[in-house]
Amino acid sequence: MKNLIAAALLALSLSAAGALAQAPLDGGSLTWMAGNRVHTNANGGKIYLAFIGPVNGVVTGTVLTTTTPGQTYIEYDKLGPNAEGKYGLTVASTSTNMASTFTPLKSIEKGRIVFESADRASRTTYFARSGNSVGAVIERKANGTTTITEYDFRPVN
Amino acid sequence: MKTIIGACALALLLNAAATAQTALDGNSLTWLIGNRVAMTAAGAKTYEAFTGPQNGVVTGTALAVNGTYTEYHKIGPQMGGPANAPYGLSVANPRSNMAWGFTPLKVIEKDKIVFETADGARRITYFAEPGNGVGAWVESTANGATTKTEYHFKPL
Repeated sequence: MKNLIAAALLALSLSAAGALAQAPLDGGSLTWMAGNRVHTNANGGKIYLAFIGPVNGVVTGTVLTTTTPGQTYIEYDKLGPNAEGKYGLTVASTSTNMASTFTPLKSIEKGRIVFESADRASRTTYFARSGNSVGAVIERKANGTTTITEYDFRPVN
Repeated sequence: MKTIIGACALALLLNAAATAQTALDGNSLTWLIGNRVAMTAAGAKTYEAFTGPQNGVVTGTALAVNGTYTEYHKIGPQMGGPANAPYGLSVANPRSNMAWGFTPLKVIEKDKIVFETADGARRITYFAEPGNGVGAWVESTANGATTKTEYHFKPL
């Protein structure tokens, strides 16, 4: 009986240790994000996205697209700690006159990272797709309505 | 005589056409696009990515010093500038507290772009290197002395 209990405890211990060792991912796991990619809109317009890193858990990126003829939308991203040391997504873009917005990390899983604002009105998800592509889902809630925008960034040849 | 004048006029026209071909703009910067890394002799790595060009604009980001140094680039009309802002290199980094600095374009040639301040005190050169690499020179002149830092970014 003692042997059975010991074996059961050992099994539980190994299972818990294994799960703990595998589960807690950090920014260092974001190697799947690094690359130079492009999303093509239904109208043929292109959105370019480049991420580099991770370096010590930090990834930086830039987004570039044309809005109206002669106008460009530019965005700079940082996945990493903000000035207060909290991990999340910091974004500055031409839409905000380069003022930064910060969205805290919600979760990191294998091949997926989610950021969500405290009021849950804004959620940004990046995830690995086949062929070294990266998907992005931007969800915005306002006045009871949720707007979802999806992107399929494929490697630039 | 008419034949000679005609030949001269034709030569001038052909010369003008050649000039039109060499006038490159930001859309020629395809060689700059990619994700690369440069390593110092001490083994420190600087990662850099450029994307585009779109509408003559290229944007980029750099990451170094163990992830604590992040830099953002725009090659195009001055960041935050007026409608007809001058073309050049806008950079924001921790040294400037992420405020955008601007260095005007000096020249674009095939596989090479140079930015230089009006007083000539600072010059930044990017150029294509073999194997899809990109070289970068940052030259600063102060008190009669010029400091030159070189980077050789290799594809990741």
